[in-house]
Amino acid sequence: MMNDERKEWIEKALNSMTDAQRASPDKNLKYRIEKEIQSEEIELVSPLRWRISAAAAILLLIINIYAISNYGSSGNKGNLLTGSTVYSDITLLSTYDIYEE
Amino acid sequence: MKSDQNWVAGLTGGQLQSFRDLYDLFSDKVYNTALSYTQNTVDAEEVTQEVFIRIFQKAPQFKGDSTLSTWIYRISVNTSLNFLRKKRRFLFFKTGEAEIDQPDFQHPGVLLENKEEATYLFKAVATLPESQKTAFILSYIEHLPRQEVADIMDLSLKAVESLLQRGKNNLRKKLEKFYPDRRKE
Repeated sequence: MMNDERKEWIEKALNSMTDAQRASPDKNLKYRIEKEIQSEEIELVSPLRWRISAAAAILLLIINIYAISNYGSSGNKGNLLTGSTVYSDITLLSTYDIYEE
Repeated sequence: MKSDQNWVAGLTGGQLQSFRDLYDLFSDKVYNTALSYTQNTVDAEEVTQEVFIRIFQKAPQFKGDSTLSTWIYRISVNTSLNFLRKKRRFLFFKTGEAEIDQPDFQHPGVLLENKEEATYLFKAVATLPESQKTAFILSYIEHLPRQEVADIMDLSLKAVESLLQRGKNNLRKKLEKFYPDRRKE
């Protein structure tokens, strides 16, 4: 008799959530999460966008390496200086009569 | 009705409105799952917050191999289990005790006539191993179909049935021990 009562109670306990209603979180939780998302500035970058960005960076690096190695091998080292000298010559005033009419 | 991919596209595009709609649709499911694990409303809200932030962050990684619901449940289960592990670790370092001394939990949605039994049930559920606990919570508290439970846990249907059988046997043993306590009250 006692054993049956115990068994019955155990089964009742096991099924005690069968007709239970769902609980709801605090109404402000949604806004708290929104704030959290905004404050953390979570970046939503898709894998495709990541791949495009990475490919662009690699391409830029290759172009730079190519330009530097090409520049060095063509023996144009002096040109830059010459160029800048020319540029300086042009830009420098040869006379201080700036108010000359 | 929005398809799973539309939801994900909205989230990936950073649309806050998509997040709001998704929250309205899934917050109760996430919160109730978290509540069954943590057995504490404050902790369950913390887990819910973490779950939705993860959903927002991980939306671009959603491949559509499972339904959105299954994916969200999976994140909820993993976040809840991680939360409990962290809490246990924290308590162990603080007090030296390996088990969380859980106060009696009364689920806010339980029927009045089942309140006492449900309190003992949650006390017993807290002692189950993780996989048995997950199978029981999803099947008997969340009332999900067995196949969805299997998908969430990434197990076969047979494996879930076996976990449920072992879980229920362990719960019966635990509840049997609680029975005299219950008689005293």
